[in-house]
Amino acid sequence: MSIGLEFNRSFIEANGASDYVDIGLAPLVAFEISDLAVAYSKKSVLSHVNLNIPKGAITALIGPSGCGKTSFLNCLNRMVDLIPGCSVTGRINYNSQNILEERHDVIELRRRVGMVFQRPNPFPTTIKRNLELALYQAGFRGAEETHISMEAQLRRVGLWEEVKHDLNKPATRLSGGQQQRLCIARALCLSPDVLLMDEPCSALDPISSARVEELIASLKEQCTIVIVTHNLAQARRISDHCVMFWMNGASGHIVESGATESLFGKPQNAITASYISGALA
Amino acid sequence: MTYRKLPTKSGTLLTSLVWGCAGLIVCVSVAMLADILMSGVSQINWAFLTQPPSDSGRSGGIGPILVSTLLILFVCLCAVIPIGLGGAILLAEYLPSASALGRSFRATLEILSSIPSIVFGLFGNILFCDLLGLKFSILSGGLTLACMVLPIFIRSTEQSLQSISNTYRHGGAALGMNKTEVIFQILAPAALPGVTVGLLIGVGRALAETAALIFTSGYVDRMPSSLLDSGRSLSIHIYDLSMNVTGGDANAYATAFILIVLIVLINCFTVAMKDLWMRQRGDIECL
Repeated sequence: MSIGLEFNRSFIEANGASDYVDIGLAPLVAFEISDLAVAYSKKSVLSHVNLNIPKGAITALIGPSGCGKTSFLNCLNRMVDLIPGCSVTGRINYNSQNILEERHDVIELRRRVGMVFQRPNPFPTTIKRNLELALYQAGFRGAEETHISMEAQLRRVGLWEEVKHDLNKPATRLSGGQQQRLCIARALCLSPDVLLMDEPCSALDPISSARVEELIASLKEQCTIVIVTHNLAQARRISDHCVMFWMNGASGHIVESGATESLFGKPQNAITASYISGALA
Repeated sequence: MTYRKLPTKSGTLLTSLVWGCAGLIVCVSVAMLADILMSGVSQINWAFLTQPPSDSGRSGGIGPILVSTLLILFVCLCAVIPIGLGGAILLAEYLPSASALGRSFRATLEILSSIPSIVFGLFGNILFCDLLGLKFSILSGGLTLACMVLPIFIRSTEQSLQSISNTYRHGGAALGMNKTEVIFQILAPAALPGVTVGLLIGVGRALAETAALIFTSGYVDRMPSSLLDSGRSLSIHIYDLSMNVTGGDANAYATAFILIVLIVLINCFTVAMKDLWMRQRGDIECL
């Protein structure tokens, strides 16, 4: 395994490649997705998805609404299980295991692959309790260690100074941007390897959105991030890799994927080219 | 934006009709309360609250009756809260209304909650007093009331669980919580205010109940020595004094007054608790 990793590193360094997408180098790939299809009560929303998501980078999923980006994201931590009538076929390899297998440990998967939702969803309780619930899942039991990590997580998302005197305040009283940062802190409590984000800035004003965006960029050091966004400028600013989704007839699929700079600079696909130049939406 | 106004005449008519109905309801309730208050309040003193009744209730107090009522309520709540919460969680989280089992459960509860209380009384008499051998007792009475209150409580709790946004369920699942953890750590606390309101409606119904108790907890007006003793509830005492005991009207009024005060107190307590919880989760502004 480590020899393979070394080989991949030297291979990449030698070739000067920053784009690992679709080149199948397993150790540097977080998710290997092959022939994934998603259907809701037999209506196909996503089909023929083949993609490698690189480790330690930010991958942005772009494309118009309704082309299956969120469904795709929900497959990566099996949140699709919670949607009645949803069926998923294909393979998603994560740590060399197919997470779509029925007997795969979903709870453990969701602890490793965290998620931040489109609308901030702090639990209807205090700020403190929101983080305590997550830290409890991460195995923290003592009051002291829980408090220390709580502070660390809140500092990480730049919320500590704003809320340190109001930890017992209801989380729903925070502003939208603060709520979203709290949700990110909550997800980070489990020190996930991957963080999935579904349009995390779309419900926020531009200033809060900029802060959250900054935060996301800073998290790249610690975990792999997969983010759905409708904001192409944001995708271009923060992501290393970009995946373009499109509707093909009745069902969504991927039309192009690659390094963000090359996808935005020299799109290979006509649809991508028109979409990012604003001609299609 | 322009909109069409109602023709003035029918508008005035409708408005006065609505106000008339509201006024009528308020007047009737106020008249009833005033009647009870004026006829009852003069009898109320510490002795009335603590002394046992004498001369079939014409004189003396309601001490043992108050104790029996609270004991019956206690037994009722002890049965209703765990079974009701369990049933509501089962319905809301595990039996979707689309499933055949879920549909039939809900329909059954709907029917049960509209059954007259006297039917519950007879059922309780057969099941608890006879078959289970509890005889006429506070236990039988409380359990019968529980049967009566459960359908209402389960439906209202289920509704408050269902009204909780799915985003919380998803948020919990995304943190690696299993379904039980999501239910008990996130959904149940969030549903608490709704649950208390459901419980309040149930308690109100239980305290007001006469028919179901006559056949189960019995008539005896002495101080109960255990839960297996027969005990008379406040509502039965009022019924007995006003229907069967000539010259018992004054004490009937006084007892009615105490019953109303009890209900108001329980109401205030529950609403205060509900406000506290809602404040904690941020639904109302902190004061």
